[in-house]
Amino acid sequence: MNDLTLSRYLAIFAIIVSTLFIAVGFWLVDIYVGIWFAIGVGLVWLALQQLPQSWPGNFGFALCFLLAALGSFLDVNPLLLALSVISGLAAWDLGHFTKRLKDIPQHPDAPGLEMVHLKRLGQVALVSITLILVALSIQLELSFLGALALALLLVLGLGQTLSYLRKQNE
Amino acid sequence: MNRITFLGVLVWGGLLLGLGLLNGLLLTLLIPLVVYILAGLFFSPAEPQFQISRLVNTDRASPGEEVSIQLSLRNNGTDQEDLHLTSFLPDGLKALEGEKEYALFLPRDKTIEIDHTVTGARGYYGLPDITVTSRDPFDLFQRQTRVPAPGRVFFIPQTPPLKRIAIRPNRTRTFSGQVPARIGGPGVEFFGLREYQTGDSLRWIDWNTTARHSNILFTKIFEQERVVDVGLILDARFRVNVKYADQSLFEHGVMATASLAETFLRTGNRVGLLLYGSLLDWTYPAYGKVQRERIMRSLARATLGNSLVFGSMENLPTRLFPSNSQLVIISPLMDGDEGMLLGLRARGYQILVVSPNPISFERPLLEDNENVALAARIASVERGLLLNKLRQAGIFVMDWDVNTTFENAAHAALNNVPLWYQTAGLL
Repeated sequence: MNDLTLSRYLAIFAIIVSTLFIAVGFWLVDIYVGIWFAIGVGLVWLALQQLPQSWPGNFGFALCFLLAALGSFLDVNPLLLALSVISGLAAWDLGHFTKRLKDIPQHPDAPGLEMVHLKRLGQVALVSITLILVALSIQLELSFLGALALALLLVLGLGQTLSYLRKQNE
Repeated sequence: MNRITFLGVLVWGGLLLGLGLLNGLLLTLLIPLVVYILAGLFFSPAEPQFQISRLVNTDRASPGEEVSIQLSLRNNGTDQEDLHLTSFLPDGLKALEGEKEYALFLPRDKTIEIDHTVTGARGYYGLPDITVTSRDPFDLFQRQTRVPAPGRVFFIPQTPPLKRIAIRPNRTRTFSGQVPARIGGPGVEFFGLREYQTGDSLRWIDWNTTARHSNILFTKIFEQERVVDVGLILDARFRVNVKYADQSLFEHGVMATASLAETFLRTGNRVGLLLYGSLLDWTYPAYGKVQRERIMRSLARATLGNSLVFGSMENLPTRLFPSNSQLVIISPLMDGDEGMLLGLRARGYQILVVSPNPISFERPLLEDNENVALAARIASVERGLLLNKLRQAGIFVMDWDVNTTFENAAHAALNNVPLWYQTAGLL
């Protein structure tokens, strides 16, 4: 059994940070129900995090993402929402990582693997923040054809995803 | 729901919602998720190329004995940071040392060795292929390969040695052995007298008889001892063998069969084995140590089975056994089996039935109350009637209380065959 203390604490920290960003975002636009809801989501996620299964992590992150998506319709600060989603993603990933390594017998180089994983996760977060900042600073007007192309891309993408999932099930 | 599916649902759901409601911020929030998926794809390992060999220190052992298995895995492909190895051991094998799953970091051109110590109950265990799973660091995509690593272990039933089993089939083979052949000649046991013939040894002259006759010399002749054909038939029908929790009457039958085969082969006889259960597993009769190994491996593989065809003993294939040979049937027996056994006896086979007693096996495992006691009495009476029917037909039946060891029970029952059996030429 590999007990990855750093990753476990970072996962808890990331959950708290994620929910705090959303809560602060809702506080800034005076939606107090949103604050309580965000804190509730955070507490539920923290409580479920202790379970050995993988669904609590999915459930917690899905709630966090839905809350951020809701915030995007309510004029909540975009940067706070983006940081919340990134923290939530990190928490979801680290929760799974610690559980995965806990479930299997002794890994010969668990601390090394943990450091490599954290480094890569950090890279993902950095690239995401950069792209989000770029996306928030650049605004494009889409023509009807552009929107149609995007819609077609969406349909194709969905089709590809479905076929990939079908292959995985086979 | 696996992780990539979960992320896919979030991404596509967000895309639909963002495009449908013209919410650019929602689309922006999807960026970390997409970057995460792309990173998973970017860091996912290349097609794994492994070379696996498995070394088993012995492929035959006694139940409970420790067997060492060494697995050697060489990575001929790229570095594998997060490698999972599973399916090391088949069901039934118990690992004393080593795990059933391993996570490894295996650099290119490196070899890793994994040791296992296992033990198990009687049986044949084919070691399964190794499943090697390599994953990306975020556990989104994985490549799974099954690498064959052949290996097998037989846990052969233990065979307590028997001193002697008294059998007297009508037909013997030409080679000298230890079974009385009902033919005069060189031997140990006194067989009769005849008039002295030129060339007879003077040591064999029976002086007492000669003294009672004038001018005639009498010579003692002895009974020749030869090897015989023995057909062992192990009843592997599910409906006959009582099973209770992890204990099975069949295991006693297997052990008895192993012991009998060992004893008959050791005394030079030609022995074949038929497992009569879901199908016919026939080990062709032969002599010696190789045949012993064949029979033991067949017994190691033996399992109970159900079959409509072989549900009763009526379909026992008698042509497999030489006529007038010795058949040893190891079966708890049930109503209806006597017909076939009487038929075999009528055809000239010498039959010895070793019957593990299902009542004495099951009775200690059940509650001690009046109903159970009454049921046991009724079953005992029925069984007694069945066995008596067989005995009246000249079949020698050993009713084995499995609470005593087979060695002791066989020593008492098979070493001292009743005189009337011998004089009547029944055994």
